[in-house]
Amino acid sequence: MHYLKMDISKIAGLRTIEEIEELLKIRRSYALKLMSSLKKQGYVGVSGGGRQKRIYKITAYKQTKSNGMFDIINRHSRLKVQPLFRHIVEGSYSAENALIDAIALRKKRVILAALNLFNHIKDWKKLKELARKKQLEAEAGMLYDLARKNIKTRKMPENIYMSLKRAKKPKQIIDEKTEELDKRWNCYVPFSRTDIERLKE
Amino acid sequence: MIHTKDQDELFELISSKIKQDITCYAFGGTAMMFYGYKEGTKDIDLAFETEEQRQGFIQAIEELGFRKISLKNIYNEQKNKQENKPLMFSRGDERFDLFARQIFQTKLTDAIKERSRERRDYIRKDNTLTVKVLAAEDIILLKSVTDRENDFTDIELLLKKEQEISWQTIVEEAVRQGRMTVLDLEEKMGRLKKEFYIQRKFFDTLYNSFGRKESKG
Repeated sequence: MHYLKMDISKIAGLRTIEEIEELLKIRRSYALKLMSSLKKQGYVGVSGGGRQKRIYKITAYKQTKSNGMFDIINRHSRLKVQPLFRHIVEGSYSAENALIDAIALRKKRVILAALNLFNHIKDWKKLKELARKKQLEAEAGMLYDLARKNIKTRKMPENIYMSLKRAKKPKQIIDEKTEELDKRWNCYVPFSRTDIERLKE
Repeated sequence: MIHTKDQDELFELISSKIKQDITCYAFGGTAMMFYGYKEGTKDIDLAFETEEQRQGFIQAIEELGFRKISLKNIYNEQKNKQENKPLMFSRGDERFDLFARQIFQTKLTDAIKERSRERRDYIRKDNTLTVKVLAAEDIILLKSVTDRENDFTDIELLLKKEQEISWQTIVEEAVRQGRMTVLDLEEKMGRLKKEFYIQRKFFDTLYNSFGRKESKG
């Protein structure tokens, strides 16, 4: 059986080389050659090797490396997030993009993990522009204040900070526990003290 | 006919022409290409949340030489008369079928949008073209409401390639969409059960949605 004519979905999943030999009823040498060919085409990913047992991740689709929001967040945050979807970007995509996209998702854990990105912002003007496009200036400013009080962040220039504050925003729900922040930015803080403590762990 | 690599490059080119951020949802053959189950497709099927977004996309593709064409030779008379028919644009072998808010009788609900499995951002200049790929269950649902034999073949391909298709999700969404969708889905499921195992309870859910008796045997 030639690998080009094979139906990969039959062996899809996490497999060891022994399992592949057994499933396809082939010799070890051919199984290794098969995995090598499929890996070059992008259908197989490998983990382990050396002292650890080598495990092959075989998929019926080509495994494109994702380079999006979740990769950037997990690279810089102690609090890791499971990707909600595969995010692939063609073009320039940085911490600024990832932070605003995380806020736009409106998922608590993703936003919490993304707070660490305030320590990796290089272009604050870009961050402001992205926030303005998605009408998230108040949220971005509020989360910056929250992050600045609790973890290490870079300092936002004063003119950018004032620009975010000036953005018009309708009144949102006020949380009594973090009253001061809410009044300043006029938007709801979705985190409790316990959540914020997890950032410092 | 457009192939996977060409499709990606085309989206990237379109992202350099759009005047605002645009989000669209890919389904049909386009989505199957993103999954890697197809190498090429006759047309690129996209759905937009608002008419404004669709018009923004149309402006960009018109700059690239795409021209509006008629649905007459492509869809049947019944589809041509429907309110939510697509706007079609063509350039050579490439064709876009662009829907807004609804794909014929199927509404682009929040549940469908939330289930999107993949998100691709194309950023060449200042604006982002975001293409969200619908989940396999929603692709199957959309293909089950057409009369085209090719679409039925695609459903079979998806069921063979995807390890875990949730019939629960498909059936619930069909009920949410309405009677016509339920009838079309029930007919396709009847044909599919000859080759694939589909639990009886899913047929019962469809029948019960219109107060019919549960199936026997």
